[in-house]
Amino acid sequence: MPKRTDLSSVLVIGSGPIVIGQAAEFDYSGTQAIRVLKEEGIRVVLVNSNPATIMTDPEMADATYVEPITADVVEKIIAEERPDALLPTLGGQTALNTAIQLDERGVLEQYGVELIGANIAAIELGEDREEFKGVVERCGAESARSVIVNTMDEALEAAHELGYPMVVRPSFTMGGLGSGMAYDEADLHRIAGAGLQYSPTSEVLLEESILGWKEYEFEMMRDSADNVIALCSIENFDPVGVHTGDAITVAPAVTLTDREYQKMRDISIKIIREVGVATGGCNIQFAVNPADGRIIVIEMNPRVSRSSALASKATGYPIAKIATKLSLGYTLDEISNDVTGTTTAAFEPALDYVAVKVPRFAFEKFPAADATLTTTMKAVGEVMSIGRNFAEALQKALRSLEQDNDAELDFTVPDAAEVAELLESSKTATTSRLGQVQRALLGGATPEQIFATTQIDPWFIDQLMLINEVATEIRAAKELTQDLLRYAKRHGFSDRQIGELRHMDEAVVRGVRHALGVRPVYKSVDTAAGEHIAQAPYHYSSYDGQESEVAEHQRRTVVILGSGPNRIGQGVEFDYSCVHATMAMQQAGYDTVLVNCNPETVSTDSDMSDRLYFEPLTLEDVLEIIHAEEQTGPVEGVFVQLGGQTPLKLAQDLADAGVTILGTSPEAIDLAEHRGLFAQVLQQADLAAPKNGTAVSFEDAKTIADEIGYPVLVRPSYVLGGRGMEIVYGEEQLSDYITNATAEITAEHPVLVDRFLDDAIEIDVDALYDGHELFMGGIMEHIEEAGIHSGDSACVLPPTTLAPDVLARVREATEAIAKGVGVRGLINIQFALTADILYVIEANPRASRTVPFVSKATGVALAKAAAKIGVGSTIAELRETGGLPATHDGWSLPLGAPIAVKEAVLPFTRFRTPEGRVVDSLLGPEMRSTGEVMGIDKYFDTAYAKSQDAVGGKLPTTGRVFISVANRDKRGIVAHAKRLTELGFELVSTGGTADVLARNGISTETVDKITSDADQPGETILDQLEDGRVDLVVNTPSGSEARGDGYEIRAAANSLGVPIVTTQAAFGTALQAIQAQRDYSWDVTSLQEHDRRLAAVIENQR
Amino acid sequence: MSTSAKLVLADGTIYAGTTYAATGSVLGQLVFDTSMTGYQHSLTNPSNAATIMVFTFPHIGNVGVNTSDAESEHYWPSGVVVRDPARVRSNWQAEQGLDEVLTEAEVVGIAGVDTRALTRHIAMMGQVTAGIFSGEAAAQSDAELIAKVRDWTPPTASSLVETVSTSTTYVVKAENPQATVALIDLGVRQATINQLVERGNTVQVMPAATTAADIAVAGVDGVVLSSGPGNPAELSDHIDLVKDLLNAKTPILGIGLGHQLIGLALGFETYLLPQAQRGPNQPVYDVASGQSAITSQNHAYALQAELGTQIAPMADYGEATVTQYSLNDNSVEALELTDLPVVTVQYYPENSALEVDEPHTVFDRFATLMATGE
Repeated sequence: MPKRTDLSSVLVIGSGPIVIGQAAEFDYSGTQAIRVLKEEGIRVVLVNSNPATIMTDPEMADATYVEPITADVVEKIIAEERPDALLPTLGGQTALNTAIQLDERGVLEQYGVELIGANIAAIELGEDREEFKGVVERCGAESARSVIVNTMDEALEAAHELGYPMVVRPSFTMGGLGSGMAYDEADLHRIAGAGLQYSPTSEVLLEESILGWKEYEFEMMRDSADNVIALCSIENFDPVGVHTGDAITVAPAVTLTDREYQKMRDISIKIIREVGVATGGCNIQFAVNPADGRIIVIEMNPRVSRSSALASKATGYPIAKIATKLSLGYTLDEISNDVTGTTTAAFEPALDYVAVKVPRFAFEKFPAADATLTTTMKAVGEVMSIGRNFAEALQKALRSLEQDNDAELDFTVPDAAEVAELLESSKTATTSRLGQVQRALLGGATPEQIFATTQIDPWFIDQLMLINEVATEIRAAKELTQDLLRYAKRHGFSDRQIGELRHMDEAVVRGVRHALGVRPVYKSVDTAAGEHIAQAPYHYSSYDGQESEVAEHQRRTVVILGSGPNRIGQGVEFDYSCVHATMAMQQAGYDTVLVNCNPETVSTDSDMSDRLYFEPLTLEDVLEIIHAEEQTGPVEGVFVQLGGQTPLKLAQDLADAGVTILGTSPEAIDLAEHRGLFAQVLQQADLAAPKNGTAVSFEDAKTIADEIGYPVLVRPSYVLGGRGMEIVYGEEQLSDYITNATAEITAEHPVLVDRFLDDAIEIDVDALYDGHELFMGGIMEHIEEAGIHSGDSACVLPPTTLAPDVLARVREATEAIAKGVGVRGLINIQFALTADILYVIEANPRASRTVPFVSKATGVALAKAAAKIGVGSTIAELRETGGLPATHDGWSLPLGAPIAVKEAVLPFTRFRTPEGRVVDSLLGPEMRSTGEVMGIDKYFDTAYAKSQDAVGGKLPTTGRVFISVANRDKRGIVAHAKRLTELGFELVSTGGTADVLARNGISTETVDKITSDADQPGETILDQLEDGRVDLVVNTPSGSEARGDGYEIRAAANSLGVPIVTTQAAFGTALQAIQAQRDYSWDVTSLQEHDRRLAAVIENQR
Repeated sequence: MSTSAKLVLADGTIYAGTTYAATGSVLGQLVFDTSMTGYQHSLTNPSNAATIMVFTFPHIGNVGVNTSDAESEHYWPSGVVVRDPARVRSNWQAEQGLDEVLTEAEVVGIAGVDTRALTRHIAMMGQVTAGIFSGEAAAQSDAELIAKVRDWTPPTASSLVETVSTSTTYVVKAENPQATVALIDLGVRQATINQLVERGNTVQVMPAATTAADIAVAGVDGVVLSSGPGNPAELSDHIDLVKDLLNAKTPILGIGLGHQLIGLALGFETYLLPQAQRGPNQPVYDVASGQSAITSQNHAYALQAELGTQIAPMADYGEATVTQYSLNDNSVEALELTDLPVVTVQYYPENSALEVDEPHTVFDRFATLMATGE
């Protein structure tokens, strides 16, 4: 069936901010979708609140709405744009839920918008657990025995039938939010209670435990001619009980007989037809009882999902791209397989390698959180690795995680006592379990013991034993021979690991290896296991033989190093910069090579660059890739400044190895990163930094702190995302900090002590420098005061409360630093303004987290310009050729330019303490947000309101507000509180805050503090929150009561989804936004329209 | 690390590896299999007799072997090439380890080979003769080994078919028989017999040397010509047998080699595919339904015919229609005759998406032909 001709415009809904369970993979799928639609000549309208995405680039869609993804807002966009169709299957659960709401409200019908790629009945059949059970039954397959409940009483009754342990899952939530395993009645109360609240339909499913069974996933695709194909099977290393997003997984499945595989494939085909997925992808999860092969269907997602991104990268089959084409009416046999060039999309990929995914966690950011892995997803990112066998792929994946090497296997042989401990602790699934199991085996535990404690499949256990055996051989060998090195490499051992096993330096191992001629070749992911001869530009390293499949190339090659796994502090924003650089370099006539190991990203779409290397971002792996590129053609150099800290820290070593670093030089990087050297740069420019010192002991730290005065900001010397950073208010706290420091404090790893600038306004800038002139990308004014990590703070661009002379000083300082450091490309600087003195906090000579936000807010592609500067263009040339605006920059934005607000999205509800309570939601100097949204409008107040709506914390316009603030904030809230009452809000307060308000003539209802005192049975704020009688919480923490009432209140508000304000500054802006929401109707404006308006304003000024 | 073995190709390429399964030396045609599961099915498929099988998926043997997954009673290839043989078997059904049964069956193996480079080599060259040499056999000079490989004479198709076929007729009864069929065993897979029996056919499995007279005596409702090894054009006795059956207007189902023999009897020619079709992911387009299906295939030869309907070269047999063709290379995948009760498929029809809940599977079509003659 050829393409439909009746669709001329399509609305695509994105997935919004990066949150746990819904991350960059939807940027990957959405970007593919948009490219396909454009190629087909269709006008594309996009809505996505996440500015850090490639899909929201103004040149991607025809009309890009960076607006909140809510049914209200999308309805306005539909009214404005009148699309023919809505494609809701590529934006995760967010897009699907929004589409369902639009359908329920009759919006789609009213505007004649056809849903393509999905139909509501199919979505409901797939996602409604009870309905889906019926589907499974009709397909002749089995589900776990289960009961649906809507109340706690029903849950308790069902428990009698099913017995403990049982799985608790709320309906219609993503990433398994609110799910858990109940081992007893107390667990059931806790998990089902929360689940009933999370589920938009107050519906929770209880089911028989299949804990410890083998878990599988099948990625399926169907077209309008009812052709169905199975694209990929994925097997979980971790048995059922760990959310598949938190599990180590392997593609393809490795412990199934063909009969079992075919049975699951058949069931999957029947299910996709029975559910009625119109066209496109879906995935189906299975559990298999290892004892008798009984197969149970767990669930399906009737849309492109996280695992479809993984499956696309694991197989080379572009699922989202094909799904989009199918939604336009094509059938699989009409779409060509771009990899082979000769065959069609109607086939099932054959793999001749193993792809292993390992999740990346961030428990170190949430010390109070329970690190047990459950059916609620907690991973913040993931890596994938490809190897010619499991051992190689697993070890490559572990070093790709880049977790201070903690993640890599440790081959220290444990004694019997430790083996017993390891076995005991491996009973609980945690992020350490892989290492525990592997070391227990190394210490003599039997595979049977491991299976008994973990239910990990014996084949995987044997693979870990194999890795241990290879390690033992490496350690015991007389010398490093060619055979031994090849053997080690074929099981994934890095030079560093081999060095550790032999007490040698990594560089020495590499020298020996090169001298013996043991170097990797690069194979291709070709979808066909070599059956069809193809020039697939998607490579992975292997120590098999001599045949390298990298194509000869004539054009000069630019290598762009990606940012590795998403983590808090380094996420999709850096992928954005890498992809932009690729585009710019291709446009400038270079061949581009991308290196990355994160399967969620756009950068690892092999369509994006001329060649993709899916490899770890370690020195060894990168050097080998550069070598392979040099063998096949000319190499211009390597970009390390776009992928965040990951490639930046390789700069010096790469340069030492003779690699040309494009853009800012390693020496310049050092000037900015090294504290002492940077102080000299500032001194020369006559700029101030907060007083500071470096301490190697508590005494040192105390002396410094006494000298500069409390509060002080303390942190380890090497930090990313504010890791381990704390504001210290006194000596006792300082002593605690030093005692509990995460790593030992040594001369090499000292603690930095800075004066903390209380009440300062923080300012962030992103700028370009070419050695001659500065281009100010944008100046961002933070909304929260200094002390809140810049990644977690809301900010506004252009600044709305900074005076022109301050902006001029910021510009001068930025130029002086860029010049002093010697930047060629992007630089990000953080300033703090207090008492009208501008302090320099830090400078990062690389693309920052805010580059995409600034680019979207100002309509200037900064990363592209940075890449061009890296290969020799000047800012003047870029201004002339349209790469940068001809007349203005982010400093000289005229009045009338749109105002953009960035707001952070925080994952607190995902993390529970061991007692099962939500962790505290306070902001601080350590970054905890997973993603961000942008609100953009003519004025600050509405832009801010949009940003709040987009993070799911839509501010109320009427109702009751609870206010309880720390002493230092009491004076600052009076006027705000008064205004709230004037607007008709009722106020609720406790204790001291209530007194302050009362003396200022503001009437509040006073409720009791939360206390366990039995003689105070009065109603507390918690009761009101739980009853849904509070619409907004304003609660700022005082230093000492972190574990007290404030925590309880914030935790409850977070669990219940009540908007919460935790700083005084944010209270003021929230109030502005509340007022704006009451006064103005909500306008939607596309980025393209904002650009046109800005151009008009600039034109008028001239 | 185990002792070394060599895989020697006729063009002089040598791949080093380690011994696996039986030790010794073996010569044969290299064929690759891109399945990621189902090595046991492939190794017990008689169509792979006397080959050296290369598995493109690195991990082979993970789930061991079991009785119910055997396609026949033997392990047919002379040699196997794998990258990472399993050290343990892990599956509730596993009865024995793969290396164990291959050693018993004297299949000479080699492990640790760069199977991807090898597969690309085969895909580029088409037919490749090779030898595996391990143990004492590996001690000879490379030149001697290459000479041995070059001297190898492939077995004839008739000797292959004779080797893999049953020596005596046996009967597999259906529970509620609707029909009785004669299945000429040219290298039949158990899956074919199971499908026929499940659909209510009592199956008389007959040796390859069966004649039309033998079939007439058996008094069956129809004849199945099974899949099997070798170049179909060499099997003139079988082509004659098909002609006799066609002349008698006997309902016939041809699968794989059987499909090719029917085509030859109709006067079409067969040819060696530039690229053999082996593996579980071969897309086939069904003209009538407009659907495509992913099929499992294992053949190097194909039938030469125009897509669409044509008068068979042996015009007495009337019109023949190519009902399905390959989406990879447009080669013929299924035939149906207008005037005679004959259906054929090139692929293995027992497990493919088109068959999952399609009522008109080739087996059902065959049942109709037997029942009604049209």
